[in-house]
Amino acid sequence: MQQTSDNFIAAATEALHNDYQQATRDFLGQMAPKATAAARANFGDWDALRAHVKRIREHSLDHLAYYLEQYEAAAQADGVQVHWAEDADALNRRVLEICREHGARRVAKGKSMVTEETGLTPYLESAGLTVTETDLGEYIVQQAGEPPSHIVGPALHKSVDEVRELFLRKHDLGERALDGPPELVAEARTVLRDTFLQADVGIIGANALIAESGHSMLVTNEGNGDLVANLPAVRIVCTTIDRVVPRAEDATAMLRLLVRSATGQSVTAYTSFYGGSRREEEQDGPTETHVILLDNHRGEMLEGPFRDMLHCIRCGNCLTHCPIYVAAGGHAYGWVYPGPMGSVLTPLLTSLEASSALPNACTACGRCAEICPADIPLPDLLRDLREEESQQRLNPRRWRLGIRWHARLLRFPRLYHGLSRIAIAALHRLGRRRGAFQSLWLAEGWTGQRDFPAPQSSTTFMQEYRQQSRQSLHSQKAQHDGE
Amino acid sequence: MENEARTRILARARHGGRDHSAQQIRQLREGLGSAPAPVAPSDDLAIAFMSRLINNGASVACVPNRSAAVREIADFLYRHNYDRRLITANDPKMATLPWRDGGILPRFATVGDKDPVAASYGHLGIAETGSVLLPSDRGNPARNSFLVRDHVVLVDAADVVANYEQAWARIQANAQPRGLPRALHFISGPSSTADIVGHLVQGAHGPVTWQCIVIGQLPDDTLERARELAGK
Repeated sequence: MQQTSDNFIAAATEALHNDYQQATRDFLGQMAPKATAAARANFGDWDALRAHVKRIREHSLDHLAYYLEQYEAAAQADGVQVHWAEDADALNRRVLEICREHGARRVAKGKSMVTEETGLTPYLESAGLTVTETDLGEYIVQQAGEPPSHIVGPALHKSVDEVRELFLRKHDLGERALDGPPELVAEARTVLRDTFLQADVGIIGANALIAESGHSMLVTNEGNGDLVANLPAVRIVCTTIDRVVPRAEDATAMLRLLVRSATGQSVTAYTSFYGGSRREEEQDGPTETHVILLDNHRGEMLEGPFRDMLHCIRCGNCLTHCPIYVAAGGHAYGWVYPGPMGSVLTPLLTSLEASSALPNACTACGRCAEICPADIPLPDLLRDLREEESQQRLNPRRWRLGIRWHARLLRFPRLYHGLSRIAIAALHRLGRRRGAFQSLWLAEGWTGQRDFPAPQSSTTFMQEYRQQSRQSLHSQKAQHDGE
Repeated sequence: MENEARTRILARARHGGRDHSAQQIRQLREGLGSAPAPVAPSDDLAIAFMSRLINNGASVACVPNRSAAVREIADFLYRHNYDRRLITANDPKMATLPWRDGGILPRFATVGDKDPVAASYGHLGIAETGSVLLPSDRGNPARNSFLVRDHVVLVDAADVVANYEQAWARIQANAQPRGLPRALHFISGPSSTADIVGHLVQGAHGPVTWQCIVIGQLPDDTLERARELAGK
């Protein structure tokens, strides 16, 4: 997928002018947090679960090499061929090689953010293979030639009318009504049935890898992932090294967090654990299974200050809690991962230079950190990326100069407070009649979109604070003297 | 070349991790204990299990014995306009059901591309989530669970456990000398999707209808209490 993250402001502005999509995102931003909050409340001791899973993930990352080797040995003992890929190209090449070894022409894919990250579908298509996304949302955006707008609901930005028009255009099934979501889902079910039955290779992702057993966990609602995993003769699991946990119960502990945070359910329809190929006595299942373990900068993240990001379970909860995501939409982020988690991950997995707008796409409201089931301090990581951006001189010169002068001024508190008093008094005097400024020198970026409120009094916060502290002391002293 | 990639990836993982022996790592993991489980909707495992199933969109029946289970399957086939022919996998528990009691003609096989309905026998039920375990083996071809339109699953009430931790303990205890089954499917209801404008539609790519028949000598009002608990 071609990255367009540097176009964030223009893409976000465009998204804000699409009334339908804006209304959809507003609805999503209201309903999804309610659903996930209810699921958390019904769980019981959510904070204890969150803390437990965090300890497990930290332990797994502390001993990542040990658990990866344990996973590899267990998976190989079950007949799985385990491959290692350092970057996106290596993963794509390996998948293509496997497809070619089997003379495959048709590939069915389950939902996999990792293969979105590596751009696997266009890579295989350019090599002449027919690749079909089978998750309904992914199928819709693939047919529309668009990237996903949300990591859990990739096509949530599209209206019923848009999906209807798309299906009428893409499916050669004659005249039909396709009145609403049930009819559209039924048509996709019918059309994709042949994809499952005819695919030579099935590609799925993994929500976790179990070191002890060599299984990979797959969590879905639609059932497409399990059809892709079981019907084609060759199964390829594309996943990343940070997904490994010691035991099966660690994966199901994570599952408790994931499902409630992703969809507000207590469980998805299907949770499957996949190991090796069909055994002698079995009547179906793949005859060959591969797992590709991708690094793609995760090893570097493990050693650096952004290690916490490896705890992300890809639930998408931070997206719908983020005022920037709700306003700008997923496409504005210009790559695979949108929202707060995407604003951290994209610069780390691509480059800060290509995505320097993203760490600034944050109001520092802190909602993402508050609700993150993996307890990732997303606003702190975004701030660290902004700092790095400044050090690498990637932000505008005017911005850097302003920060530098502000920092210099802060070294002289008396001067800072004195200037603040003058500025507040002047703003109060100038703006008291209207109560706000429609334009203001040095704040055009603000006043270009909305009014700047005038201070309600001519004193600064610190002056008020000191005055109230003095009054409080006096009244305490008077009370003490009276006693 | 791939071997070199493996070496470099593991070297980075080692460098970013802690230096402990295998025994120390096992002890450290042991020290982390188990995860807290969710609050159960009922102390009665069968009620909790069935109420979760109902919440998950499954249809649920509760019968006292295997003969009643067969009659319940027959009733399901009748309600869904099927004839009395049914595909079930080659599972010993399925093979010994009194099929004549429901007038059903079972075929012990894997479903074909067009077969609309199948029945399976679950190894475990999990009350925490309302899930039934169908492991890969002779008795549970994946096609029978995922490719059909309607899926009927039987589970013994005695095989219902409280949560995932208990389920894993049971799975480990029942493991064959060659290890765990190569695939473990925890199925909790019919397939569904909300990918079009967030509208929940039951029946995506997997079964549209998912019927669970719980077999056991349970109080008569068990299912009713489960429905009340589920608010349905």
